[in-house]
Amino acid sequence: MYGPTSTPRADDPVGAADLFARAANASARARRRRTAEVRDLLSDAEARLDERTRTAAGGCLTALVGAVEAMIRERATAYLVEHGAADAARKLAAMTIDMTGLLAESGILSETALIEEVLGRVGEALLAEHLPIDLGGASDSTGLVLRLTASKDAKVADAARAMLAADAARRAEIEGEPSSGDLPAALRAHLAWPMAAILRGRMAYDAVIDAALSHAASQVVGSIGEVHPLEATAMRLAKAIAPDAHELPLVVQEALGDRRLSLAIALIARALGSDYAAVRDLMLDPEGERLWLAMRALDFDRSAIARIGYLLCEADGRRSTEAFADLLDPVMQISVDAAAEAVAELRLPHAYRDALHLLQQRGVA
Amino acid sequence: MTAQPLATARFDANGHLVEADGRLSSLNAVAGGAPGAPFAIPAIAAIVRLAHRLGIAIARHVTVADGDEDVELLVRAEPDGDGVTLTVAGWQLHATGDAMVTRARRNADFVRADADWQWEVDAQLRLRFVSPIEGVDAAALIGAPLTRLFTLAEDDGGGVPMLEALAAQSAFDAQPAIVRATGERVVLSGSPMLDAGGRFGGFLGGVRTQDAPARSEGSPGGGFGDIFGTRLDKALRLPLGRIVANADSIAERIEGPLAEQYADYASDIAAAGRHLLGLVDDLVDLQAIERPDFEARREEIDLADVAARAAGLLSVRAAEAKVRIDRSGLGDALPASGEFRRALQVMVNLIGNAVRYSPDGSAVVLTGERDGDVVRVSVADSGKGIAPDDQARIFEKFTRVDPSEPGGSGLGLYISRRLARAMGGDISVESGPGEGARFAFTLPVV
Repeated sequence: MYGPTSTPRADDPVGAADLFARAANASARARRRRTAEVRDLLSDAEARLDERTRTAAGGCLTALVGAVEAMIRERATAYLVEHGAADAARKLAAMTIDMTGLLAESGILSETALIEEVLGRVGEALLAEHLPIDLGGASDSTGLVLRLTASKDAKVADAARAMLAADAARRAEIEGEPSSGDLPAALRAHLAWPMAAILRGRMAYDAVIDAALSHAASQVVGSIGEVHPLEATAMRLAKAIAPDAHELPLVVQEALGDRRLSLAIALIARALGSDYAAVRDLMLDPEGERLWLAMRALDFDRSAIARIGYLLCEADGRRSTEAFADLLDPVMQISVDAAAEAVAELRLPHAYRDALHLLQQRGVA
Repeated sequence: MTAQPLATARFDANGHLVEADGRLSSLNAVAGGAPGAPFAIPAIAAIVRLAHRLGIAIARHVTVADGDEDVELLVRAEPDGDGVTLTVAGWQLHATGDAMVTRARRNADFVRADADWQWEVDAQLRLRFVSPIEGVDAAALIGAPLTRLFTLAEDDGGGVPMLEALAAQSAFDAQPAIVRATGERVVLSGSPMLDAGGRFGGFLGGVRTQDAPARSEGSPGGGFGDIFGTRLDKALRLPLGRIVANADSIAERIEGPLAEQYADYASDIAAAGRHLLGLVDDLVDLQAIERPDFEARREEIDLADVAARAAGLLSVRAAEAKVRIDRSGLGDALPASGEFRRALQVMVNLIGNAVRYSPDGSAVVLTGERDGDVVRVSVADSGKGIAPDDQARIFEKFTRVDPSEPGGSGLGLYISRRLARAMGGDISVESGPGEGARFAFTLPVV
């Protein structure tokens, strides 16, 4: 946040207007800090992130911002060079700014959907990392997804290969390697336009710069197909495998045993007619009731729910295996139809579900 | 791995022991258990109960005391109609605290920390993961045999450490190899991944590059050269970070209620861990500035602004120490030539020291001035001062004026002066016992 604009220079003494503006900024910052402190103080311990998640999420957010910023700069620089503005291109390429800091300060990073996505990714990766290695029957058998890459069905084999690659890329991203910026389009748009505006504010005015930055941002927002997020590849593989209701519980268990949590999520999401993010939330929720109900709604048998619940309890220190065991019989006593009704909301479009919750919270609906 | 003796036992629907063969029976008896009651070792009784309640097979590894020694047991409990059958393998003695599964997990941490990049294979040595590295199409390698990524070579003794480790399902190190896509010579290390039954599920591996710039030989880093920056740095940071994070979680009682004194111990552990992390930072800096090619950037900075920012960064610490930082003497801008980040680091060090040695209720006074072709910021405290004999010594490596004072690695001033000199400036001190100390940081004007 040590941007060059805030450093007073000897030949440009701080004027009163400048001072007032800075004081106003400082006051806004102080208010935001205080709000965060109050929230932190009042939040109960259970709602607090553990350090590992906090660190990984911070790194993941910075990496995603860095990746989107690099895409914009690269495209805008190319546009400027093409349009004969080589000086501006050089300046844009060489500019150093703390993009994450500036976006955070302007409130852009406080978008709930963005933070939910980052926490979802990190939570999923950390949970997958802690899933017990479960070799099933034979220790010399190949993992599920690797086996699927050899499938005779080209659709399955392709999808499995794409998922393996995306899984490795995501794991690298969580371990601090550069990100590919594989955000959903809405979130890319949420970041790309303010980034373009921030870059624009650091350049001397010239119409060609506006043109370059808006061209770059719209390309980044629309660049579907260049990056394959893990979530999308997992959904594609789930669709290609298309297990029937009888096979599904076995495939989900095998995916978890192979520590491919994303495939397990995608399989359940597909079977429920829900979306990836909604089922990921169920998987990450340490209380778990909604997940047990969802599996019951899919007519999973007792031992499948028991095995999946057990693996998740082993992977997540916040869960209690005993508490899970207490719930198992009550869950099995619920009829499949009643369970389906209880989780029917998961089938609604994501945005609609969010809107319903928001209005409920505000006492409108 | 040598064949492990198996022991079995049966439990009824209430989790009470029906029968156990020799070794399990004596383990239970030693722990005060008997047939007709739950197993006397709680961890094993819990596995039996869980298998029964969930109706699925449960496998876990458990470390238990067997006489004077600890043994690691690979326990599997399987429901069998109206009760539970328990199978126990392992019985590996590890008086040194070394257990197979635990050891494998710890090895994995070392492999991670020590590597320039990583790979992971399954039990058939097919790649599950490859770090993104230049010149290697990681995505295309996933699922391929490890030998598509590396050509394994023999080590000096004519052995192939990885194959030996595969046979023994143990960890290996110093496996020479060549990255096929780039021809680069590397050294591989790996740690076995074992499931709760102790079965081999593949290797988690690390790669150290060989063609990196020459390390310890002839490097002036006081013996550790580049190795510190690239290896120990990571090797220490990861486990220290975990210690701090876990100790913080315990101190915050995130997992549940805890007696006050234990929460305090945890806070102490976290504080000590942070101190060690700070030391690692210092050593990394030391390693960087002692390289012959170390250079600080020369850009136009405002030293008064840098000092004010450093004071801002330390304001919380100062408030905790009941010390005021007086910046009113900094005056106008002091344009100088130097590297912003490094100058800030120097100012933070000087002001931080002053805060640490200041008595309660006193002030640390910052003054700025231009003096010919240098600008100077002075940091004055009213602490106990530094005797003339000690004034040269405090800029030496690992020197602390008062070793009884807590905190500090004895590297801060040494590093600060090196940095100041690399930017064409310097740090000097004026002080006498009982008079406080005044440190002056100078940089050339632009």
